[in-house]
Amino acid sequence: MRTHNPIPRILSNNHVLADENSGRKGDAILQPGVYDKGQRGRDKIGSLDSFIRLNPSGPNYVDCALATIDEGIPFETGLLKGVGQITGTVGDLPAENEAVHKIGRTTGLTNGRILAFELDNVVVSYDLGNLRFDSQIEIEGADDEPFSLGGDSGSLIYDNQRQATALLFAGGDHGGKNGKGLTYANPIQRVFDELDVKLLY
Amino acid sequence: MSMDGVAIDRARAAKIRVGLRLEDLPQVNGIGLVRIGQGYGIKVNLSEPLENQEAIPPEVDGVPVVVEFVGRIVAR
Repeated sequence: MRTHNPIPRILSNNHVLADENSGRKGDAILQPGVYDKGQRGRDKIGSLDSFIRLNPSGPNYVDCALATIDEGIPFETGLLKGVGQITGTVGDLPAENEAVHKIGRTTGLTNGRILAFELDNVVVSYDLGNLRFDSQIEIEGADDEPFSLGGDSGSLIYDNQRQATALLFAGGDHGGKNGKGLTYANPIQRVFDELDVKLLY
Repeated sequence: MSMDGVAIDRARAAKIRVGLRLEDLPQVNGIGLVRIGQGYGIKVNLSEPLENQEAIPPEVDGVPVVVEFVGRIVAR
């Protein structure tokens, strides 16, 4: 990721990096996170840079935030570990049963299919309350497993051409052809536009 | 509907109409577009099953409507 000056950033969700609007620029970002016993100091890899506020009273389009990367922390831009290099950003409308994939903290590498897109009036439960999202993408698991579970938020979803497609942020336990629930994601170009960044790969 | 299915613009227009028609149903938790063959349709998601299944028509302005129970959606 980069802003107009090409400084790499970490992309994830507001609710992951900025604790649903309560984070402040400069807050420590830990890897592993606190939930995974990460400790301030020892596991700090960067700082909260910016985020798009979640709006409890109106439609939201993205749940996203950026963090800086501390000096000395090794990283590789655009590399999907064990898969290959990101090749760009998806452009067209999805094809029928468009295949997508993600690598997440909880469920690792999973395969899915885009079920619905331009999905409006999606109500998502947060600590802040029930927030409405418009223009979202819905994904079902392609195998016998859910495409995502709790803790997978912030995963980059990509297609068979390894083009960045969406940013994972929510899900439920019902629905999908395999009955293992559905995953919701922000279209990636909207995320980049709102944060005023470009994909670095 | 042509052999090629419903065009995207027609599906988008019908999606708006479906949204207006269902705006009083609190069980509706998402209205979007789906691919159906070479064309497009509308998907209506429900957080709770409907008592009156006929409240959602199978087709609006010639655009097919599919319904799915998705339950509660949470930030992950």
